[in-house]
Amino acid sequence: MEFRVENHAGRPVAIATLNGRLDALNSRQFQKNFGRWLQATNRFVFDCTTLDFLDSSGLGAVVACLRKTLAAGGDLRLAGLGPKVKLVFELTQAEKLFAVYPNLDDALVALTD
Amino acid sequence: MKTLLIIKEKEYGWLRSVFPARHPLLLTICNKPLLEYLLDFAILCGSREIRLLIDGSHEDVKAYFGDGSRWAVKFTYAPIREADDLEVVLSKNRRFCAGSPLLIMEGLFFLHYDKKEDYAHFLQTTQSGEVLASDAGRILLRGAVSQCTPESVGSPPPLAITPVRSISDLHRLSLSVLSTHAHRYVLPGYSNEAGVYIGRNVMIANTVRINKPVMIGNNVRIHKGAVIGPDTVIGNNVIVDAYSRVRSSIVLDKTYVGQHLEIKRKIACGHTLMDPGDGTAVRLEDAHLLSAMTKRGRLIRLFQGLCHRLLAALLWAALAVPYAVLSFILKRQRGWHQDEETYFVDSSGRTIRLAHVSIEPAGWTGRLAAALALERFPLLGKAAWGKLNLIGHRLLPASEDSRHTLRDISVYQPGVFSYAESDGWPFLDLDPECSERFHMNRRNIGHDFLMVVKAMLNRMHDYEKVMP
Amino acid sequence: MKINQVIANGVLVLMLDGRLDAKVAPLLQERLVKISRQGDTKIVVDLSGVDFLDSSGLGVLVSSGRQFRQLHGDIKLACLGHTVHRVFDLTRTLGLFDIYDDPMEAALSFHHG
Repeated sequence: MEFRVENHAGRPVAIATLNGRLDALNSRQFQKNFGRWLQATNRFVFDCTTLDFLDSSGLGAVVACLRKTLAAGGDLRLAGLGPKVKLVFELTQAEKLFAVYPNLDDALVALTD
Repeated sequence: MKTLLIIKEKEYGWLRSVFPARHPLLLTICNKPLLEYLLDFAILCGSREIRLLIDGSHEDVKAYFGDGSRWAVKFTYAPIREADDLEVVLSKNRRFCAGSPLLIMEGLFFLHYDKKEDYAHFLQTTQSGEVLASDAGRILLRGAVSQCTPESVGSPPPLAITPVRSISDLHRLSLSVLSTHAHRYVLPGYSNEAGVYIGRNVMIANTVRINKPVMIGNNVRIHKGAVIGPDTVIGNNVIVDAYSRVRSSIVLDKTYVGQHLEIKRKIACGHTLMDPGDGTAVRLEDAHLLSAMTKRGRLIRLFQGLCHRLLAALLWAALAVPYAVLSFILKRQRGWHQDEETYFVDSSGRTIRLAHVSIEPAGWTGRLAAALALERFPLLGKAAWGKLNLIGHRLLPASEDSRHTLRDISVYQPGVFSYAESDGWPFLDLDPECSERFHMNRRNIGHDFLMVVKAMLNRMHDYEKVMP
Repeated sequence: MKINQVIANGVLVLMLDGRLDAKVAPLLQERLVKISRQGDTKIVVDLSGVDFLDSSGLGVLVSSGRQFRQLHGDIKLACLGHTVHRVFDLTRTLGLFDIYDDPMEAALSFHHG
C-alpha cells in the first residue's frame, strides 16, 4: 500500500494506492497505517485500480477508514474499483456508503470541486 | 418412435470451469435440468424409449434420471467417444435403433417449445432429415415414413434452439422462461398463483416479501425481512438469511446467502458470485457472506477414521519388533536410507512432512524387510495418530507436477498403502488412478482391511520370488 | 467363468459368461495373449453374460486393449450390463474402448475402419 500527498487546487489530497489483496491478513495493519495518514490530512482518495480482491475484513477496514475520516470532518472517495471488488461492494451494499469513480483523475477532480 | 440424445463434452466444457461442483448436464434453468427439457420434448413427441449418449461420466446423470420410470419412459445410457460421428453413434446403438423411426437431438441447448402443441402429429407429417439446425445443435428424424401430403400439413408448432454458451445466456434464459414462457413447460414447484412457484419443505418467515415472478426450490429457508424477487429463481437447499434482498437473480442449489446482502442481476452459486453482464466471477471466502452447503456424513467418516487408526495401530504393534531388529541390522549394513520429504495431505494442497525410507533388498535381511513393507513403518505411526489414512490414494510428493494430478482427484485421501498396490499395480497394467477410483467408491472397514492385507501379501509375493 | 469363441463377419468374438473377478482374470489374460499370438488382433468381447466385474477383470481388459492397439488391432466391447457399465464409468475407462450394443455390429465395424 503506497501513500502520497498531492496538491490539487491548492489543497492537499492524500492518495492511497491499494495493491493486491486486502483481507484478514493485512486489513488490521492497513487500518493502523490509515490512523497515521489521517494525521497528515483528512481528504483521501483510495486508488483501487491494482486492488485484486477484498474480503469482508478488507471491506470492514475501508468502511472504518471512511467513518474515521467523516468524524474528522473530512472526505474519502474510491477510484478504479475492479470488477471483482465491485461485486463484493454491491453484495454487501457498501457501494451505497461511498462515492465511487471509474479512475483516479475523476475522483481527484470531483474532490476538489 | 425412439429418441437419441447425443451430447458431447466439448459442447459444454465451459460449464465445468464456471460451475465446478455441479455436473454440466444437470445445469438448471428454473430448477429443471436442461437435459430434462429435452426429455420432456421427446415425450411430447410420443417417444417412450430414450437413450442418452455421452462421452463423459454417466454417474450423476443416472442418479437424477434413473431408468426413466419417473416419467413413465425407458431411459437408457450408452457411452460414445468424442470422435464418433452420427453414423458411428448409430452403429454403436444398432440394437436400440432397429425397427423404429428415430428422433435424434444432437448438442446441448435450450429448446423452445410449447407443451400445449401437438408435436407428435407434426413429426408424423415430417420427412426424414433435419428438422431444426443451428450452430448449437440440431434435431433430426431418421427412418420416418411421412404419413401426409405436404398440403395437409398446417403451420408447424413453435420450435427453436437457443444456445447456452455463457452465464449471460443462462441468466437471460432463466429469467425469460420464468417471467414470460413458464406456461409452455412443465416446471417444478407448486403454483397457486401465476408467477409464483414454491417447492416442498419451504419455510418463509412472515416478514418476508415475495415479488412475483419468483421460483423457489425444495428445502429452502427464507429468514425474516428478506425480499425475494421479482424475476428470481432460488434453487434447492438454499438459505437466504435475514434482511437480504435478491432480485433479477439466480441462486443455485446448496447456497447460503448471508444477512443484509443485496443480490441484484447476479448468479450466486455456492461460494461464487457471478455477474452475467460481464462474466466476472468472484469466489467469496467469507462463509457468512456466501457459501456452499455440503452434506457432512460426519459420523460415518469419523467411525471410518477411527477404524483405520485402530488397524494402523495393530499393524504397527505387529511390525514393531521386526522393525527394531531389521532396521538396526540394515542401518549397520548400509542398506537403509532415510530422509524427510514433503507430501500433499489433502485436496486443498496442504502438506505434511513424512519419513521417506528406502531399503536395499539385498541379502535376506533386506528382502525380509521389503517383504514386510518396513519402509512404511514410520508412516504407520502417523496413521495411528490420524494424520494419514491407512489405505487410500498414493502419496504424492509436494511438487508442481503432482499439483496437476491432485486437481484430477475429487477428494484426495492419501494412505500408507495405496489401493493400486492391493491390485498388484503396476503388474496388472491398470493405471493407478483407475484402481484408486474403483476402490474409493467401495470404501468401508471390511473392504479396506482386506485391501491392506492384499497389499501386504503382494509385497511378500514379490519378494518371495527372490528369497532363497 | 465360461469363455466361448465364435467368428462373426470374419472377426473373432469372445463371449464371456459369469463373474470376471480376481480368480478368473488371469485365465482371461492368458486366453487373450494366445489369441493375439495367433494373429487375431482385432476382436470383440461380448460382456452380456458378465454379471460382475472388479478391478482385476477391468485391469485385464484395459491392459489387453492397450496391447492389441499396439499391434495395430483393437478390442471392441459389446453389451455392457448395468454393473459392468458402472465399473467402467467410475474408473473413467469408458473412453478407452469402442462400445456397442450389438456384438455383430462391433465385428462389422472392423471392416469399415
